[in-house]
Amino acid sequence: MSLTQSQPLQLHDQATQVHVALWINVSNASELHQRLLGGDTTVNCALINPEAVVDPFQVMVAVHRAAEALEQQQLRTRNIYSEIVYNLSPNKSIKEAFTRFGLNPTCKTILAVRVGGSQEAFDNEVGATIVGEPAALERLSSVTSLDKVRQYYKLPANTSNILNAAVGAMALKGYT
Amino acid sequence: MAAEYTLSQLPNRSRRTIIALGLEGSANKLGVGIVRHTLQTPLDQHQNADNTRVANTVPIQVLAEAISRQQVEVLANIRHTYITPPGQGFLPKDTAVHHRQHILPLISQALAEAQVTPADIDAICFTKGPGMGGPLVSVAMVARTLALLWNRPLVGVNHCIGHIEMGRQITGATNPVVLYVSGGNTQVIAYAQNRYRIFGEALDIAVGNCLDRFARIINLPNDPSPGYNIEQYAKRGKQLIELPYTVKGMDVSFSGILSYIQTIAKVRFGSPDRATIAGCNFVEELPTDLTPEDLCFSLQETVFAMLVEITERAMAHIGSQEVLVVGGVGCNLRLQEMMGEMARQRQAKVFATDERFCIDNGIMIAHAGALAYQTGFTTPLKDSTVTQRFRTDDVTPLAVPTSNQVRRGSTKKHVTKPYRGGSSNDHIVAKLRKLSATKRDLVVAVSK
Amino acid sequence: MQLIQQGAEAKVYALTFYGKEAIAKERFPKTYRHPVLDKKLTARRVIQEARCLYRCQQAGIDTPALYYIDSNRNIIYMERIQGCTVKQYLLNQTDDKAACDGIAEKIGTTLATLHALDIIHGDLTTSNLYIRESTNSLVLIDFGLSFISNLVEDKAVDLYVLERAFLSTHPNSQALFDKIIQVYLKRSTTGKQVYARLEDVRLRGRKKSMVG
Repeated sequence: MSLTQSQPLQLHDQATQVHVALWINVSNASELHQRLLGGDTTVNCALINPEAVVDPFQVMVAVHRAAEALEQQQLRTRNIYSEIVYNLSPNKSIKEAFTRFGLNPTCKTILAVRVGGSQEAFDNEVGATIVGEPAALERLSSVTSLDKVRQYYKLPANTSNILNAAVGAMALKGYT
Repeated sequence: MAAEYTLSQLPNRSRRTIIALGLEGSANKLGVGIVRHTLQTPLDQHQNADNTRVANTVPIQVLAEAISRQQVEVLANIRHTYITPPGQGFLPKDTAVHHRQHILPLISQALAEAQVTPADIDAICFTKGPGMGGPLVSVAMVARTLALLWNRPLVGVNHCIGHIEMGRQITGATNPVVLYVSGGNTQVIAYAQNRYRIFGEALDIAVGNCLDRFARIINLPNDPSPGYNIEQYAKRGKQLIELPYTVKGMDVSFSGILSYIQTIAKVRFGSPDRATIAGCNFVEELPTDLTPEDLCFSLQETVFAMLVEITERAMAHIGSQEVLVVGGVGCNLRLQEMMGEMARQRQAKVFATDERFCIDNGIMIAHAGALAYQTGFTTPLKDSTVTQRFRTDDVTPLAVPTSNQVRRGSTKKHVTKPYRGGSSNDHIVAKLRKLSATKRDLVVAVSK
Repeated sequence: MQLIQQGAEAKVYALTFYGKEAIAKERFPKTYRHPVLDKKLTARRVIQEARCLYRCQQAGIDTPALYYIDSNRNIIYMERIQGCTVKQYLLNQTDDKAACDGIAEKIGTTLATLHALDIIHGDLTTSNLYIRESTNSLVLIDFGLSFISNLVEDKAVDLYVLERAFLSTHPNSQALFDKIIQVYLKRSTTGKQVYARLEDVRLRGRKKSMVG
C-alpha cells in the first residue's frame, strides 16, 4: 500500500490531486541536488527538506499559493515546484528559501510533492528518483526540528501552536 | 421625561397654525425664512381613545403624532451670500459686517414675499450655533432686538438639527441615517435614545472646508461657491491619482489629503514655497499631463468615497435602510450619485435636497425652531447667547421645558459657553436701531 | 463553500481548507467607489486585517489562525473557531458569578495585551469575542476595522465601544464591565490614562468633544 498522501487542490473544480510523500534514509541527495541545480525537469516534483516542516498542511498551503500564482502568471521562481519551496519561507529571499527548505546535498529525509497526475505514477517516478525508503507522513514529527521552525519563522519561544504560527507567517509573505 | 403636556405649557393651544421667522448666519450665507405649520387637528380638540377628553393635557405621543402629520409651508426662503474674491476665504469679521448690512432688507423682503406682518409671527428663531462667532452674534442680535420690539419669544436653534429637520420634512424620510456635510461640519447622525447622536464625524477639518481650501489654492472662483466650481472641474477630470484615504471606524480625517493635494497643486500649477518644495519628491512620480481638473476629480472621488463608507457603516450598525444627505456639500451631484449607488447595493433609499435647502438657509432654522416651539420650547432672552461649538447630540428634541432632563442637558459644562468675542453688543444695538430707522417698511411693521 | 454571513463589506463562507475547518472572508467591490481606488483600498484592507490577526497571535492572544491570503480575490482564509460567542455564553450564565468573573478576567487581560501592541480592534462587541470549546480560552475575532495606533483616545474608544455593547445586549452587565476594567488596569501599563480618557468618552458619548 502506498504511503503517499493525496488530496485535491482546492482551486476551481478540485480535479487536480496533490501528492505528498516522505522519504527517509535517502542516500542520493547530493546527486538530486546536482540535477535540480542543472535545471533537470525530469525530477518533476518539489523536493523539500522537511526539517522545518511541522505538518503536511504547511506544505499544502505552499502548494495552494504556488498553483494560484501559476494560474495568475505571478510565479516568482522558475516553476510551480520551485515556487512551493519558495512559499514555505516567510520572507522574499529566494536564496534563503532554497537553503532552508530546498533539498541540500546532505539531506537524509525528503518530502516529495507533485501537483497533478495519478498517485500511482507519482509513486513510480519518485521511487525511481529517490534512493531511500518511503515512510508514513506521521513520522514527519520525528524529523522536524522545532528550534529551526522557530528560528526560520521568527516565532517567540512560548508560541503555543507552532503550525498555525508558521502558516500565518507564510501567508503574510510578501505583504509585510 | 413627562408622559404628557398640560396645554398651558404649549404656545398655540387656541390655534392650529403658527408662523415662525428663521434667521441664519452661522457662516457666509445669510438666510431668512418664514414657515407656517398647520396642525390637522387642534390640540385642544384631542380625544382619548375612549372618546373622553382629559382637560388641559396632551399625551406626548399625541403631540408628536400631530406635529409629524402637520402641514408645513415655506412662505419665504431667501438668502444673501458673502462672496469673496478667488483665492480668498471669508473672515469672521468681514462676514459679520456683510450680515449686518444685509439682514434688515432681507427680513423686509421675506415678510413681503410671505405676505405676513410681524403681528403674524409667533416666534423668532435664530441659529445658536455651531458656527463662526462674529456672524452668529450679529444675527442673534437682530433676533433678540426683533423679539423685544415685536414682543415675541425667541427660539435658539442648533444649526445641524435645522438641516436635519428640514431635510426630513422636504424628503419625507422617516428615520434616516443623516450625512451632514458642509464647510464647517462633517457628521454621520442618527436618531437613537431620544436624541440625534453622532455616530461618526471628521476628526479634523470638515469636508467642505477641505474642498474650499483646495479651490482657493487652484484659484477657482467663490461664485456661486468654491464647491460648485470643483464639481464642474471634476466632471472634466480624467486621471485618478491616489490620495491619502483615512477612515477610522466611523470617523474620517481630511487634513492629510488636503496638505497632500495642496503640495501637488502648488508644485505643478503655482509657486511653491520652500517648505512645500522640501516635501514634494512624490510629485515627480505623478503623470506629467496632470491637470487641475484631474486633481478636482481625484479629490472628489476620494473624499466622497470616505463619506459614503462611514455612512454605510452607520447604516449597517443601526440597521437603517434610509440615508439623508444634508448640508452644502450635499448638493454635489457626484456625492448624491455615489450615495445612491451604495444604497442600491444594499437595497436602501437615498434622500437629498437641492441647493434651496442643502445650502445654509433661513427656512430650516424657522422650521426646526417652530417644531421646538410647538413642544413648548423657547429661549429666554438671558440665554439667547450663541456658541461656536454646539454639538448635535447636546440637543434633546421634543423637550419638555420643566423636565429635569432638559435642564441637565442644557447646563452641561461645554454646551453653554457663550461667545463673547467681537464688537460689544451695545454698539450693535445702536447700529441696529439706526439701521431699522432707515428702513421704512420695517418701522411700519414694527409700529403696528 | 457555504455563505454564513453577509456584512456591509464582506461575505463570510464556511469551508474545509486542506482538512482544517476554516472560513473564507471575502471583501467584495464597492461599486460606488472609483474602481481603481476600490481595488487599492480593498487590497490594502485585506492585508491590514491579516497583519493585525497575526500580530495578535504572535503576542499570545488567541485569534483565528491565519491560513492564506488570496490577494487576487481579496479573500482571507482563516481558522473557524469551534465554540460559542461571549454573547451567548453570558446569556446562558448570567447567574453564575464565578463563570462571569472568569470571563471578565480573560477579556480584561486580552484587551490589555491587544492595546500594549498598539492594535485597536475597532469593533469590540460580545459577538466578536468567542470562547474556544477545546481550551476555554478567549478568542478575539473580526479584525476588519482594526488599525494601529498608540493614542490613548483610540484605546479608550475601543473600550467604550465594548462597554456599549455590553450594556445594550446584556442585562445588569455594568458590574461585569467594571470587572473587565479592573483587570485591564492591572495588566496594562497605560491603563490609567486610558481609563481617565474612557470617563471623558462616556460623558460625551463616544465622540471627541469639539469644544475649543
